[in-house]
Amino acid sequence: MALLSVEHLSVSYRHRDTLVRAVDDVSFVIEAGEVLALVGESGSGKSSVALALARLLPPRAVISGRAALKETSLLDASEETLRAIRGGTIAYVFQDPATSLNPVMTIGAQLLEAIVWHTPAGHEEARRLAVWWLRQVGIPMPELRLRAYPHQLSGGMQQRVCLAMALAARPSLLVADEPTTALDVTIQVQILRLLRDLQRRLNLSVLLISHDLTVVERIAHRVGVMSGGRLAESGAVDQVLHRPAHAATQALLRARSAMSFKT
Amino acid sequence: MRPTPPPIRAFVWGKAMRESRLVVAGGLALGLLAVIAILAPWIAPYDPLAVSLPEALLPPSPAHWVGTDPLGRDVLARLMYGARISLVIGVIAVGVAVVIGTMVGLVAGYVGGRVDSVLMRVVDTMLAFPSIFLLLAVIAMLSPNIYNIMVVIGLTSWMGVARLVRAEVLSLKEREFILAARAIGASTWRIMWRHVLPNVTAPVLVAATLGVGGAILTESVLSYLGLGVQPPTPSWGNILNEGRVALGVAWWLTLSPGVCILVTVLAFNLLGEGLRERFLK
Repeated sequence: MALLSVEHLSVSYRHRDTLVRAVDDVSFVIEAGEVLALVGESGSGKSSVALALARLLPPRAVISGRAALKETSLLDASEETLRAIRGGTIAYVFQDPATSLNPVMTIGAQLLEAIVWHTPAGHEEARRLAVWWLRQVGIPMPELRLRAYPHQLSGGMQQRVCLAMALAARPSLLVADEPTTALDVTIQVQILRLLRDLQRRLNLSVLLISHDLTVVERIAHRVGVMSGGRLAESGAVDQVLHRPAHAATQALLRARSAMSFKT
Repeated sequence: MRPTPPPIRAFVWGKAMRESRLVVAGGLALGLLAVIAILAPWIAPYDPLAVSLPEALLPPSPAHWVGTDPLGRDVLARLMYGARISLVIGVIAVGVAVVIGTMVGLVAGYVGGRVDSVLMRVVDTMLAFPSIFLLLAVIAMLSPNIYNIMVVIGLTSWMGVARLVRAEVLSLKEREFILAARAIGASTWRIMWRHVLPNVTAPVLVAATLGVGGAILTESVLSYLGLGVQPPTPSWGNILNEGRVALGVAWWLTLSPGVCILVTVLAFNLLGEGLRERFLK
């Protein structure tokens, strides 16, 4: 049975008196240990899909359809269940680590929050775990970093901390929403490599949101192409990227070859 | 040969000092005032309450630096004791205002919707009253002692802080780290207390500093009108009031508390402006 199954998911946003549909009847599954990438141009609804899973969308969003993680139904879960799910079984990493860490809290305090809420660890144990996770994501001198504020770290380091926060409670699904878009090209490669290593070591399931096909090719097993809120095409990475059937996929591929021609 | 790099720490420190000359000036003035206020019982030249009619209305002299009042009390000693009252009332009144204003602004901004509308209409209503009449009315009903004055000044001056905090919270709650906090399972209360509140500290601190000056002024007004600190306890406002009757013959009685109020309020404003430049630019 699939780890995550999403059926007929639709998301609309209330705007004045009308509803604007951002996601239209999207269905997909993610197996345990599998990386599914959702790709598509800006505004194609891929981030809305990602945020809808843990109901993190703003109140003006209207969600319909069904989504289940193992046996737990997500879209009609109570606020209390959702709080346990968020960070506990579904964890998120966002696009810009510079803004997704609280500027006035230390790295340690933010990391400990995630661990203390979702694991039975006491304070000492949680601290030890925090250091261990910082080491796992490749942060040198983790004991010292616990007391650092986000602005004292580079963008790459910040994103590593975000990864550590997301993984610290051993979630079964990691949702990475454009995790490398805000980073330098050289740092992107490092973060991607880290993400792939961790995914393999922990047998994580990952929902990767991206518009960068190179990123997708490196770490995803399967890919879904979104266009105008619909899932235009999906399948194994090789198949979709090398024999694109849908115009949206072809457009994305053309955009990539235009980019690589320039650089 | 490579040139020696400039001593970075000294450079940065010097720059910070130059930038915040206002903070330093205001801070020094207030520090001095605070020391005088705290040490008043030990450094005041006379007992501020000791009446000595033969020495009434003496002009400034080496024996009485700021002269004496119609009852022969030493004005310098009364000003020193008055500083204690003014500073304590200013700080505590603003403390009350900051606590109420921050809570209201935080809840209104973060919860939003109907709660926000109701709270902000309350703020508008409070602001619609001329605060001096509100103060006078409330003080007239209660007895005019120091504690009532502090609380009532606080209760009539929290609205600015509430609006400020609400505006900050509205922009903070759209930031990605709030989404990130929700995404690791933080409850609404937790996000408000641990993630939003610490981020509004800087603007609130600036508003509070500027507010202390205002509160001291309000206390002086109330005491001047006879509804503040009651004689014989000296406060700058009632020293001013007592000097009013002797304005023609004893200029030092009204000038000296006036200068004290001016310097103190100015110092708080300089400090507040300096902090604003430092933190909010």
